Amino acid sequence: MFRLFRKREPPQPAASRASAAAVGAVARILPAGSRPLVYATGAGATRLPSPAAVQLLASLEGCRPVRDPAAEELRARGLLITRAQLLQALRDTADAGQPPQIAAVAWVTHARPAALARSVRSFAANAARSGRSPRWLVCDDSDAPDAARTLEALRGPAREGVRVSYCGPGEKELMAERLVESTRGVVPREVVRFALFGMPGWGSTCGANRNAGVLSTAGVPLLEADDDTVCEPASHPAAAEGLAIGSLRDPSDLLCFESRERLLAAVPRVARDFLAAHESVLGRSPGSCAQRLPDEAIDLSAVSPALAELLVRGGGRVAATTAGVCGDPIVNDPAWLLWLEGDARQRVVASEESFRIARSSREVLRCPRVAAIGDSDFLFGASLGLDCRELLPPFLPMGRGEDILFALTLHLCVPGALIGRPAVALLHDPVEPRAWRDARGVQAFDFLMVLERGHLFPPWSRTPEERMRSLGGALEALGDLGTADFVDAVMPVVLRARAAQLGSAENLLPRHGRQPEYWAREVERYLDAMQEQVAAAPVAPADAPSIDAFRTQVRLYGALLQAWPEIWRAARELAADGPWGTAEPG
Amino acid sequence: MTELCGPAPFELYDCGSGRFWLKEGRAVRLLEADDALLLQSVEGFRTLREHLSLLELRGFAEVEPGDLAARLEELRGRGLLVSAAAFVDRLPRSGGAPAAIGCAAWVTRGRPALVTRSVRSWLDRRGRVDSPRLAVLDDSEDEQSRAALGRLAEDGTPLWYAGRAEKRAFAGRLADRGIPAEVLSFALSPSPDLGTPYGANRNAFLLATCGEVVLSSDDDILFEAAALPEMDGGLAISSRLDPAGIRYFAGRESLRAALQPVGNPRALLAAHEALLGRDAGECARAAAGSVVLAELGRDLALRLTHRAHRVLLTASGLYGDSGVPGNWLLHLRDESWQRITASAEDYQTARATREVARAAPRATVCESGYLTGHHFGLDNRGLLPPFFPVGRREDGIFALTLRTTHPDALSANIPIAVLHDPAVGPGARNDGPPPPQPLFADLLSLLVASSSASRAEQGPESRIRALAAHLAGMASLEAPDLEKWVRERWVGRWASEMALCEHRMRNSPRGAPWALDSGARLEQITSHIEAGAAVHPRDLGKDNPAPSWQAARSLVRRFAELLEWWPAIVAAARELGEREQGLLAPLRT
Repeated sequence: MFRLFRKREPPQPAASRASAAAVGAVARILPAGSRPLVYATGAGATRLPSPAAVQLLASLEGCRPVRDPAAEELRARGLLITRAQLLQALRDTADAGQPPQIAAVAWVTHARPAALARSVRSFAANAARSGRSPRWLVCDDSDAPDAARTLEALRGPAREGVRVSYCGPGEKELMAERLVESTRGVVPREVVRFALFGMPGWGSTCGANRNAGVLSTAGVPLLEADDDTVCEPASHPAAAEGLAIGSLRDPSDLLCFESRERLLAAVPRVARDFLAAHESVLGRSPGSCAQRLPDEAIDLSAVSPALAELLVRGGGRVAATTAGVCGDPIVNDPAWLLWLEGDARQRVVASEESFRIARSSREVLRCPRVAAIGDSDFLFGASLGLDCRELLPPFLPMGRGEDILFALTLHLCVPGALIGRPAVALLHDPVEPRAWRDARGVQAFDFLMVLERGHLFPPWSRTPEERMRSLGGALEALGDLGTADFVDAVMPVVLRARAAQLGSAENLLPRHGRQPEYWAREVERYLDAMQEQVAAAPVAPADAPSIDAFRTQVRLYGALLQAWPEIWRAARELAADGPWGTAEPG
Repeated sequence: MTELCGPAPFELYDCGSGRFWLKEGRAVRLLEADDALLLQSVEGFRTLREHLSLLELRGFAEVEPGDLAARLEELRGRGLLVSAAAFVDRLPRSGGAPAAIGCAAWVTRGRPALVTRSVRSWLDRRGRVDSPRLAVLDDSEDEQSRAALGRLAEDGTPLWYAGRAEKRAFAGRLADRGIPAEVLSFALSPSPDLGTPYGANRNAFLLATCGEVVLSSDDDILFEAAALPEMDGGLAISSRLDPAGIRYFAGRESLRAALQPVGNPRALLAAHEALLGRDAGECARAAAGSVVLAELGRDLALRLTHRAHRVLLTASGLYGDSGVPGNWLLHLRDESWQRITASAEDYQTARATREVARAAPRATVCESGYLTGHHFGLDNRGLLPPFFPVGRREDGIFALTLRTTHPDALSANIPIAVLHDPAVGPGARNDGPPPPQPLFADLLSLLVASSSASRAEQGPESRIRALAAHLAGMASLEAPDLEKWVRERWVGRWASEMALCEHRMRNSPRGAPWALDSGARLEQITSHIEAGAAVHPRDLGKDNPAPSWQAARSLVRRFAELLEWWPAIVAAARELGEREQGLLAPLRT
């Protein structure tokens, strides 16, 4: 095992931090000759600050101490937001009401009956210790023989008093018919079936399974868990009370271990209500998340200008949460280790040996030290909390990465949606052996992310529904093209995006002084491989049966985004009358 | 070294680590950065020697003499540089047959003497032949133009005409086919409260001639066709929106002396017909080898080889009156700017005169998106978008709209100029710089250009509807949100204008009048920003933003409605035309 904790800096006195730290406003700096012109996007104001003030504005990163005489000018021109202002905004917007409770837990499963039963028992036991009894639900996309084995496996927990509803292929068929009926033909059957079954030939239909869970519990906060998880909450060895509010893509820390034994020995298990851990942030405003914490326990150092303005406006709600994982890291491509930053990077690249272990062992703890919320567009995990009281986007029904695409779509379509990461991890323990594999090509969800990022939302589309319709309309129109035109339209978008991604990956090398060498070699190897791979097949998702299948996926996913608000409303009405879309296994 | 060559149609993407992806068609290959950077700097089709000179100007230095030439030869050997002939061969042909101009029409409003003079000018030079038919779209409040034109018709000239009465009757027939009356009213005869209906009269022109290839002329045009002395019979394909440029002259006499007369309107007609309705490949092949591609940028070159692009709009050159009240010159670029800043005297002449010539030295096919509509041709056989019915700059807005709804459309500049002679007094008003605040036409141009209709939709009808939806959405924004949206875009113009002013001040001789003007403009923009940087359309309410935004939103909403209904209006107009119930009627005395 290797562990290399950097000594944490002692917290500064609250007063000095509050007076000195600040973040820049959202601004565009336009070269306009010798005196740059600044457009403050949030305020909608045009400014002509001094060059020194503009230079300071451009250099600001996060909410950090600013010791520059030009700061006063920026503040006077409304181009600086201080930490004190942010804290005040948090205090002003703390919710007075009762925080929402997770009312249902849904497993997404596929032909793993034993693992599923283990997971159900562990969650039920954790809930029972806190005197909780949410609705338990299993969404199963197994084929008929495996579905029967899954039902059989659920009889065990049932005999122990854990009543689990079941939503298998037959229940989803009925669910689809009721949704088509309830939407009064507004939503085509093809689209409803796409949401619940995906398309054949793509392998995983985990997203369709997730959609079934969301629809059968529409209107209440929901936790979706993988079937290979065990609810034995663990925490970071250096865990602390506090809250990090920021804009990091993933504020989780990473510890790698040589073996499961060493991991379990090093990572503290905590007697904690796992659902409550999610609820500490899920469905809450930033002010509510920070409510009981002293100022010094609130870390705002990674707040971006956009998030700062959202906080000052009193906006933001944690729409989705993901807990950490302990054990198998879920991802299969070791390239993700190359992009680590901060302590996690220090630890992983500390020595050639630590780097080798990180790239060979699959035993990790990936979890933040303190609970974190932010405007990231990224999440993946083995347990997702979803605040389904409000409309959230659907999951991509088939292919991998449905959770990652969901996070981006949430970010794009639901203004003010934040992602929360409680400081707790769940044991992820797949029953089948897993190994690192070098990238087998870019997958369909990744192409969809590129297309989503390229979409220009018209300024009048503001509500989640309007934005889903706008994004969905554009994707459907793209998928409606003939295959050749589709490729012609998609290819430049993909190449631009990939070029930008590789460009920023390449920038890592000078940022870290191309050190250590063994890390730099791997980065270069990765860049070369990706350059070759994209050149060989620019628009060929590795998991798509064919380009035409991908085009159809884009079309149907676009249609689903547009129809989803209607589908979700129909499901919520059905759910309001009691559990629906499921059966009680005998 | 004498053969013209330029970059093959490809795209380059910097994928890091000193390499680029080179995309040619649907194939992608890796290219080393040195080659890619060199290729990126090679622009247009020129001789290798010309390319070398330009590359040296851009800072490419040779390690050994002959290095750069050898590198370019090598790129040519690898097919990354191609000859102009090979490029022209790659241009797809849609096979569309060129068509003769079926109608030459005048748009007029309350200027009977001018419109009669303009029609007579055509007739005097063309001779009394029947083709194309001649028509006048008249928006006058009185009957004087009808009467004056009627007298012309008495000579036996068949003349077609639509005045207010004909438009009312035609709108009634369209309304009978389910088109809302208020939409028709805005399209063809908007309330005077909304502004002068220049575009409405042009919409009448579009509806009167749908299905034809047509010419439109303002009523103050005289067909004393002329061209620049350097005019040649060749063709250029250029990425410049306005390849004509502008030249200023102290008076009409020196202007005429600088041009050469060109036959009669038949030459003008032939010049339009040679391009109108043809795709770029056909135009180039018809030019038989004398195609100038020096200003063809990479993006247009790529699009032209990817899909057939057709010339839907042709614009004649123009000489005579500038058509603008003042001569504020800082908007000029390239050779137009170089000409007026050759000396202080040249600059002062340009500031003081109204006599100009705008003409390209050869027929030039270029990107659509720009039009000054004194005399132009349209391929009105397919569905075109409408003009914005009220206010000035309806021609420029139309060209921008066309670019959005017809992304495969091209414009062409005809090297023959007609005389613009509105009979106004000599000399230009020595205005100061225009306020840095937008006009409504600027706002509408921003809105039209921001639509993604050209990318997302298939076919002109869906694109026109998508543009309608976009504008309706923008008009639904609350005034503060619309203002914020405009400001976010307008601020970029201020920034680039400020940078340009500074650049010109720095690089001009001390005391040069254009440097002083640049300084004044810079000061004006800076003061405007420091004073709060108003961006509401200044022509809709100078000092009071609220009514200005309200009026702007209302106009945008009405234009959106018009666009939404326009395909149906054109279809109905076509049907009425086929039943001989069209807008135009023979003018009888």
